[in-house]
Amino acid sequence: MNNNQIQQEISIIKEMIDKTRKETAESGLFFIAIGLVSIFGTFIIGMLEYFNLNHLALPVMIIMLIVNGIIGYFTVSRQDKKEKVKSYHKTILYNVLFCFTVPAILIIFIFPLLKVYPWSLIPVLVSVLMGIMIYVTGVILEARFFLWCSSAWWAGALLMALVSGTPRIFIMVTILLFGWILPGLILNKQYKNRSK
Amino acid sequence: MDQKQILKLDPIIHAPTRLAILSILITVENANFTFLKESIGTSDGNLSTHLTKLETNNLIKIQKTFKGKKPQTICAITGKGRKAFTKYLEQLEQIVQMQKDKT
Repeated sequence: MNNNQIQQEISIIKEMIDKTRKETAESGLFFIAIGLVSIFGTFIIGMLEYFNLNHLALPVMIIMLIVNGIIGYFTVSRQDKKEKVKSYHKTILYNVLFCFTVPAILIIFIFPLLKVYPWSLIPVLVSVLMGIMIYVTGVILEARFFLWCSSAWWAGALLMALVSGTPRIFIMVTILLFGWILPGLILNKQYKNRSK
Repeated sequence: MDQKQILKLDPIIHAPTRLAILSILITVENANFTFLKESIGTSDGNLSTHLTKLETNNLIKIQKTFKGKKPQTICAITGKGRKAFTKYLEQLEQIVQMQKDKT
């Protein structure tokens, strides 16, 4: 086997791995869509709090959860239909995201309804949970910037524990922008660059 | 591994199309026939022949399913295939090293 043949074989292997990587890249649209819905929902909850209509916050949170669930379902099923390649990291990622929705439902709805803790604690606990989820997602996608985004969630949780009222809404929106939509946009940019 | 053993590459993998198939399948859970065909740039018949050869040697497994009403062929690497491909890569590495040492 001469040098040329070896180089040819190595280039075949590299080319095929590159093509597969492009096909299995995460588009980030899932993050962007869910992030936008969550920001919109957070603003509405903030407005309700401001106008002392707190009793309407729970239905808004339920609607937000349902809309995000629908987005998640359609993203996964649409990808499943189009999918030519099934990658390990996507299977793990979707399972991780699904497994985080269960504790999220417990933290946002069940525990406060059972009066385990006050409603005001929800954003703090949600931020802690989201930080863990973003960190795990970053590890799965081998995206270092996700690790920084998870820090934004944890720092936000700390800030929200120290303040109350309207400033919390602004903190939450800021975290959603930097800790959720920004990684989605970066993923989307990387996805587009790979597709070129 | 002595020099003779290193130079004796697995003939099942040592073909461009089959090497390309395994290079794709080693990185994913599974891939369908269309993706393999598009990525490798080969004909249906040629790809089928190589897939059958790999399947006969237990390096990959082929599953014929339906996605909605469309039939599709899904291929995945087996444990034996993974080991064989890794060994092949190690051999390639050793050949490169041997050639470097010569020069």
